[in-house]
Amino acid sequence: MIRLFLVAALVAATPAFSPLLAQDEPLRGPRKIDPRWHALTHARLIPSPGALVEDATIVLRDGVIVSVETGGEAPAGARVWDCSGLTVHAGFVEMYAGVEAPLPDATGLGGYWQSEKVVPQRSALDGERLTDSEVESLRGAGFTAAAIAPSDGVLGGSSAVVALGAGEGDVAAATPEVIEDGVYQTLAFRRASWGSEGSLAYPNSEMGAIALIRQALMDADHHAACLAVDATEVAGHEPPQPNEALDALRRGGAPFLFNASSELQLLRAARLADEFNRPVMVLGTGTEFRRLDAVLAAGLPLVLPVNYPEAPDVSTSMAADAHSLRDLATWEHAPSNARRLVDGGATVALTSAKLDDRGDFMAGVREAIERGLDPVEALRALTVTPARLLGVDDRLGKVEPGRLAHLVVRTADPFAEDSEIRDVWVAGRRFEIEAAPAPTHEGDYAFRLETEGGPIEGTLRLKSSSSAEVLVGEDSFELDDLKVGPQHMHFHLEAEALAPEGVFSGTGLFEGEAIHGSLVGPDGAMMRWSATRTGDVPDEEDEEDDGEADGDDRSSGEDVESDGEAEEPEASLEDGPLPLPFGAHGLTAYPDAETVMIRNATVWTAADAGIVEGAVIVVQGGKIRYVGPEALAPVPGGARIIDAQGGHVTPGLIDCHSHTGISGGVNETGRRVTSEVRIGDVINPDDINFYRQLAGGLTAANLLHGSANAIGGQNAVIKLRWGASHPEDMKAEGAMPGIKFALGENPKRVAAGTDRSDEYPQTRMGVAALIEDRLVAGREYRESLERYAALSEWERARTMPPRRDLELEALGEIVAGERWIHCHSYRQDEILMLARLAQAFGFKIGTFQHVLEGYKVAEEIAEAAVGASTFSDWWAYKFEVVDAIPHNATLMSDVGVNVSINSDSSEHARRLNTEAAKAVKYGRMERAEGIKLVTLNPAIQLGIGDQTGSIEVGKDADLAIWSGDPLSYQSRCVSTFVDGRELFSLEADAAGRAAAEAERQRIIQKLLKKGSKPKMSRGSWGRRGGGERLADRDLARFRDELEDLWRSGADPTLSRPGVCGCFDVLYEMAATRAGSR
Amino acid sequence: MSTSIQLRLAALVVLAAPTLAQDLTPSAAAQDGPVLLRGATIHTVSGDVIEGGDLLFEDGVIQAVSAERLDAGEARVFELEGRHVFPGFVLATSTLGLVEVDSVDMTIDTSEGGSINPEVYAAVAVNPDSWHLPVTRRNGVLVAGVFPQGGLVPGRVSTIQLDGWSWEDLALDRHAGLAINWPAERSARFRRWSGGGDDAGDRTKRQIAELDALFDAAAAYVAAKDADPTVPTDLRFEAMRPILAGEDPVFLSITTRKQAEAALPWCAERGLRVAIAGGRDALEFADLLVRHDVPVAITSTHRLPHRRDLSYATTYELPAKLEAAGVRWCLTMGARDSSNARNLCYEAAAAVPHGLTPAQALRSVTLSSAEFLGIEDHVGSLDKGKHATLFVADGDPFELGTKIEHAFVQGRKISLTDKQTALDAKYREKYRQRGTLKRD
Repeated sequence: MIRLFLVAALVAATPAFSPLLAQDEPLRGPRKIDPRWHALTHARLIPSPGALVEDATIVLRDGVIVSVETGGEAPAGARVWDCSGLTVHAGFVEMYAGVEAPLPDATGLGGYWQSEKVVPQRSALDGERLTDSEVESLRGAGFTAAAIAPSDGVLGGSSAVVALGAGEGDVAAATPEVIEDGVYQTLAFRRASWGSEGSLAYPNSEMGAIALIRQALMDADHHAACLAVDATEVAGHEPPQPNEALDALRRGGAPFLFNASSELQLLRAARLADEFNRPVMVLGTGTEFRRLDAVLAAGLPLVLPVNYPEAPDVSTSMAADAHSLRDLATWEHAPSNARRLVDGGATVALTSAKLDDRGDFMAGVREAIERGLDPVEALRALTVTPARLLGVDDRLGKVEPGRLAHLVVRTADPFAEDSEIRDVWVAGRRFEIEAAPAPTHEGDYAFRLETEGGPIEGTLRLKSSSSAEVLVGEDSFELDDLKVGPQHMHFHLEAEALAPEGVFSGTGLFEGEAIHGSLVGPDGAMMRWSATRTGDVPDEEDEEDDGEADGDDRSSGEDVESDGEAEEPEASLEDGPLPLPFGAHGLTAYPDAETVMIRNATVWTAADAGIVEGAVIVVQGGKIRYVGPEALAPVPGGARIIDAQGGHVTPGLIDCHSHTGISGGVNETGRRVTSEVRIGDVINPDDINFYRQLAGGLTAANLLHGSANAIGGQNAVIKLRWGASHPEDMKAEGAMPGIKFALGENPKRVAAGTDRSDEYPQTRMGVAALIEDRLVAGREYRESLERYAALSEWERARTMPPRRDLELEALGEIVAGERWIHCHSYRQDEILMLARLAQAFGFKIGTFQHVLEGYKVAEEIAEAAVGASTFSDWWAYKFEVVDAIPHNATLMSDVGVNVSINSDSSEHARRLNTEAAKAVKYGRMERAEGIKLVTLNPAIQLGIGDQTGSIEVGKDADLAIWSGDPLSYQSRCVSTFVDGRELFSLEADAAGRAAAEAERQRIIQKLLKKGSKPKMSRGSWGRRGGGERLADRDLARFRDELEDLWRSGADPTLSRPGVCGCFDVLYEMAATRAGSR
Repeated sequence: MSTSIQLRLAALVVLAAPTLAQDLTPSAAAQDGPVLLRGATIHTVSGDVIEGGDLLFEDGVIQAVSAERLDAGEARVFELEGRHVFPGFVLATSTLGLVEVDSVDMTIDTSEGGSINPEVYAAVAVNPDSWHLPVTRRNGVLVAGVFPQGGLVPGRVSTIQLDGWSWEDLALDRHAGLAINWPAERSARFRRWSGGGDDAGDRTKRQIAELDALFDAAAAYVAAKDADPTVPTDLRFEAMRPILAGEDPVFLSITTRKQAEAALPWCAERGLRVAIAGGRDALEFADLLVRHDVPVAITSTHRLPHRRDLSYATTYELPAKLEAAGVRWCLTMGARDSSNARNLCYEAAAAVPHGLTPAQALRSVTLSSAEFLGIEDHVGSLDKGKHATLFVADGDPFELGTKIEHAFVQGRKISLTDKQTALDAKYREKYRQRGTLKRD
């Protein structure tokens, strides 16, 4: 609507005031008219990035650029602004400025959808807009328009582009504020805050937020489909209900702006964009360079902040130790982020968002330019690109006739160090940012003083506003107490030539190039003097001419650093590939699959061959090509020969229960059934524990949701592909989809910890009933889909389609045998319950996890489940595990259960070989069987038993080489291969440690040389990014909880098996206590 | 006063019921005659390993350790050719007997209310029928320090042996020293994660001031009470007498160098004896430990490195590095949850592939731990005059395949069965009856 009006205004050249703009209140007194007709003349104009027009005349009328000409004349009637010596460019466009917007009325159309975090029907225009000080700070940085957006929510509502300054001043009518409404929908993986909505609000994990978004988008499609059916045939079904929230998410609407709080979140948002084929832009974090290739491959438009981290404190060696190489190097590389992304071909806009102080914005952009960002690209990223991304590039972003009159007038090129903004023009109105400095009067003046004895002539040298001297012949006199104002000067003078004693008091009045003044002598007699400017004060010495503004922004780079600190750009630093994961032990390139022959080893095949001494393994193309005697071994050309020197080789170890490398919460505790959430959405390949576990021979793991819910989230089976580019690359191909269930104390405790007395389940009876109900629901859901699919096309056009329900979809897969349950369980009664339930439904359970009383019902487990995955010897940490025995693995195995031993701990996962040895110790299990507990058996339990888990020809080359017997404490892992790639070796580890230490010291030295003071204060990481802050009282309580735990010796970094991650335990403790109080 | 050793040799009726869980079976009978362990490899720890040696003990005390064949006399003889004899492992810090089930509050007796509780001591609350004791000793852990937890001064530490009818039987030393959780700055990570809180430095200063006030008040009380016995009695300060006198140590829980820099001069100034538990960063304050001649009990090798850049093997490498630095150290486990105390020897073993010798590893969980607890005159090595608190194994106890065959506590031959072995037997029998046991 508004857009149409603007075009009409242009064509018709209507009078100044829009008839469509409402006036808030009736006029009081006469109108105050602003003709809004201006001409900026003699400007040095940058009409678009990379272009330049000297001596331009820009005519603005009624908020629109009417003409842009070289030379040219101001039309009669326009107010003329002489821009000689000034540079003009298009106003910057801010892509994200968060505002508070009220939640829509819960009783309105459609109400809230599932959660008050999903309010796409809300608009940024519903609320209070930007504060005056925010608008001023934006204009001060050169922004003339901004997309304002609701600052909370998961699907938080729509954004509008507004002019920065509409409504200010006292003219008779406001200029149009809204340039375009509904430019994007905000999207963020925000979690429900603790406490404020009850500690168990949904979603309180990142994977929960992702599931919520997926369901909402599916519901939007479903809603549209229902409306389509209703349009075809009204009869035969109940009417679809109006729903503003889902309407707001319809296809073909605005794109999404995803507010990322990490570069990994960006990649997750990109997956959503792919899945739903929806356009997504990303408000980044400034750390995208840490996953550069994957970010570039995602191809999403990026809105980048310049919130570089503060210089890490390295003032003492202890303080320096606290910073990881990852943090130090992030500090060092952050200013290169934009340059790397632009060079990589990304669409980049720059934003002042995520800065603590917007006043730091231009310095941040300049730093990016110093680090190689082309200033033309920087200007593009602030004008043309954001305008295009916001769909307003026909109105903003360039200085061309027909566009809105959004201009910046400044003293030099936009990113030159000394470039100051004079004025910002918003919608054809001028906002003065910084007035031109008053003219100075410095210079040499020929003066003449009329004395009684005749005129005295000489030179008045005004050196500054407080320093001047008078030169008469060979003599010179300093003027004392000099004050030079814009128009007047005052001074005192003691000059023996004029009077032996006493002080003369002088004044002067500047008139153009001349000064006219008086001088009153000690005797009170007044003399007149006058002076005429003859030129500049001559240089006294060889002054450096760095004070000159030469307008060359490319040279400005060196000026940013103060003298003596100018740094040589470090070519290697800027151009080299960055390690993945970023930080110590990262790889600059993911290795190719090697051709390797391992000889002189004892091979634990975990297959029928058992333990074979002196066997040879040949690996090629990521697969095992040969296992057997050396004499018969093929030796492929170029093979690297590894002499194991009498060591042992086992299959890579596999952990059937891990919580390593999961971002944003291991548990989604916002609901009791969360089969819709997926660990696979939140894999964190940067977790250093993956590397540590590789160092213990681990090559694959089952990443599981926590045990807070009777029915938890979907698992992700991964390989430890340390250094892979994308989190998706971690996923093990061909693994059986799985899901976490949990019985017993944990789900009971979490439900009891909510503030609802009717929360379910609070007993093992309730757990059983809840699971049965949801499995039935899943089955019936699937049946409803099948019934619908069987309809003819004609019938389908007239039948309301079933809603796709992510929770039920996963449950239906379980019943259909397409998804294996990995069930946290302890007591024999609950194990038997689930076994019987599965048998009644006719599906096989994947594994019973922990299953510490599994030895009591081993026959039933063998029958109902693929396997059992237990701890070696943990017990007594909860009441339900008082009957745990370390003989469990062996006893179950002796009754025919496929048994694995897992870690449930990032620490235990580093030594599963000796955990397996405990089964040999306590149950006297055969050694060759013992190794299967952590290799083949878990592989089978995860559905990858035909690919990995044993050393057999054709299987993946996932191998661990040990210095000796893998079941002995004396051995250590020497080398670990994943898919035929050596991702850990003792030699590489030593080299990596040395390199990391050298790199740390290099950066620390750099910091020490710089001095510990940060150059400027900037935004801090994550504070404004994504998740919300905890409420204070929860913080206090939580801090105490942690404190107690910590004091008593538990290190929060040390997760404990059996309780699914230390922080989750704390969470559950907090939740429980909140409930009991 | 600090060492009240119970050596009671009352004759007790033997009720042998080896298949029952130990928590339901009686403790071992007192040694009723001399015992000779013959022809074993004797790991004295204090001295050389003796191949094919004899070890004789009577009345709970080792009478002789010899490379030569000893006269059996009336002794009961165990022919132990090919077997190995070790002193019982000593777990320096634990909550054995104070915690039954970690998640059930009513089974936990570790933390008295308030922050400063020198009047409480651990031994009095150790449950002799705890499930944990037989499970732990089955792997050779026969002696332990028991540490109250929580607050600034949790209470007094006791040392126990893992066999006895009552807590009095169990106690080797009821008052072994005073536990102090030395004030720690919260880590930056902790502060960031928990959203700040009061300034770390101020908090630390305040807590050190609390400790100052406690020790000053205690000293003033002692002087007053000694000068005038009518001064009312204060149990807290009475408990601190041997601490103030430097007879019993303070056991400081210390992680970082910053803590050590504050604590060790503080203790030196007050003339206190010191031992340190925790010691995560002990290598960084090894110079302080050596200069002040303070022993440190390292909590666990099976921990994750606490910083991203540290070597994956940091915790495994620490013991060998401390050894090289000349620090008096022993290895222990986190005291909060002692259900895994049986893995003590594996924690020590984990340092062996990273530079520690097996002999050094063995000392770290025997004699060095005994020295840490101040009971090295009685346990920790196989020497004449020490308790016959030892075990016999068929090999290197650090190896997971090794079986412990016999164990003695003060000469009493203890049962090596427990609830867990009983449950194993019970359910093995179930499947045997049903014919579903594929391997027996």
